[in-house]
Amino acid sequence: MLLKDKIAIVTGASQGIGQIIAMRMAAEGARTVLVARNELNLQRTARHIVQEGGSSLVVPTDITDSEQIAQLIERTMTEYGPADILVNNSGISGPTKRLEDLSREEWDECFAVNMTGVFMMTRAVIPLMKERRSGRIINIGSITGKRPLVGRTPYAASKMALIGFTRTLAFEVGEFGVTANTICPGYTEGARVTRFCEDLAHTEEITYEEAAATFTEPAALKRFVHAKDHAAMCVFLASEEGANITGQDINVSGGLTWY
Amino acid sequence: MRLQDKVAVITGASQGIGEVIAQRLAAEGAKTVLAARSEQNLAATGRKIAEAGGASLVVSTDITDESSVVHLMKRATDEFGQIDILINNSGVAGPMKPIENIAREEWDDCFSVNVTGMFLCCKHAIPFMQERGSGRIVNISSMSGKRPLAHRSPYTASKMAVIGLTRTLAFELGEFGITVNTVCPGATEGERIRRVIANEAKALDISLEDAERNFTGALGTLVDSSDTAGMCVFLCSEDGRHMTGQDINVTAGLCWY
Repeated sequence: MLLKDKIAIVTGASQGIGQIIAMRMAAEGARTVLVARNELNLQRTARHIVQEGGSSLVVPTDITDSEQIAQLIERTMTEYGPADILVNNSGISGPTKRLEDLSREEWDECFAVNMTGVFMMTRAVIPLMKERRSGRIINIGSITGKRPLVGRTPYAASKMALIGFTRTLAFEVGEFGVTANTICPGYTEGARVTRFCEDLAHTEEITYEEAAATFTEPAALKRFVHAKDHAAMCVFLASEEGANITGQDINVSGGLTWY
Repeated sequence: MRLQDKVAVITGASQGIGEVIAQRLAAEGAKTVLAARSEQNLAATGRKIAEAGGASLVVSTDITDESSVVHLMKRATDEFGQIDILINNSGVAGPMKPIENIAREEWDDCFSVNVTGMFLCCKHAIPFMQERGSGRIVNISSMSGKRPLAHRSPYTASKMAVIGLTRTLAFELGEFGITVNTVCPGATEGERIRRVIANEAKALDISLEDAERNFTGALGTLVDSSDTAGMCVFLCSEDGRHMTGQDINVTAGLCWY
């Protein structure tokens, strides 16, 4: 139990990587606050956690809305106490289009969730973390941006923005014993990557396996990574083991990126 | 126990960070093979591990001597049957001089331990890992090189060489299920850094506190050997299975690239 009795807010906990992060943190003894817009999906994550004997609180929240964030922080305080850990995992893919075809609104929407929401969530938890002279901020970035991904400029830019945010934040909050890091997942097994592969197989008239290989072959380990790999890194950074790691962007990509 | 029954070879296990890594791996259930030149110092590490209920084998080794490295891996596999983990931690500080005053021999000495010795240890451990289709190699480098460190050109060049070796080796070994990573420790609490800080304070005529500030990052603290050991355990455990080719800073935020 690496996170016994820690209070962890996990955004985007209704599905995918965020759900697995929340479940693993709960399994390590953390009291988890599950955040996303969709209450039904959050309840499903909560049920998984309760079935394993863990503790969770569901707070449907739009992380781009400061009033809802204020309510989230208040509920967390009332039910559990001040947050020890914030995992900023919420994110959207944004449009897949060439730059000249993107509307201002599409661009803004991608940045609103992937960057502004992270800023607002972080701003909301930092005062109490500084006051208690401890805290862990973990942002889920991406290898995208580090590696080009044609047709995905808003996503790539927003995920690199997170890295810049993390480095400066680390120096602002370090003297208060608060760490800030980014985890950069590689291609992660799941519905989204399956859809990528299916689409590619269809457009290129190749087999699913051939399409999958275009994602896995460039990686040293020649395979997809799994959400539990990212969850493990979150736990490490949030635990005592990660106390002296801050300002980093750490790739969990099977060796797809090394910078 | 996150490394139960894994066999781990740790070079430079006689003191400092290497000793702490070995103790931590043993505490996580690994059977440790302790390598360094001084048998006496290794035996001291072995005793500490035994006192804590862990398993270790002492093999006095000069990692710059290929036959000595072959002997190390043979002893490890004779005793424990396999090699799952190699921690390349041996390293020397090298000379502290402006480049024009460094002898060819001083340069070579630094590279022979910090890089060539690592090459030899990888070369002779890898066949045992390939045989089993799994393995973990962790190279201990430094934030130096990433950050300039005046008058330490051989050290910084050798530590960056380790990162180059790691990236390419990761791609050579990935298909065999072997991961290769570098850990870059920051200024690590201990006698050596305290001496460096004291020298710095004297040389620049500043307070000890001000001198120390040059070695502390975002968190305003030095790091501890246990931090580096913690990262080694993570990378060698099931949790680290999908990380390879990386150089990971454990520096309290002093280095972020």
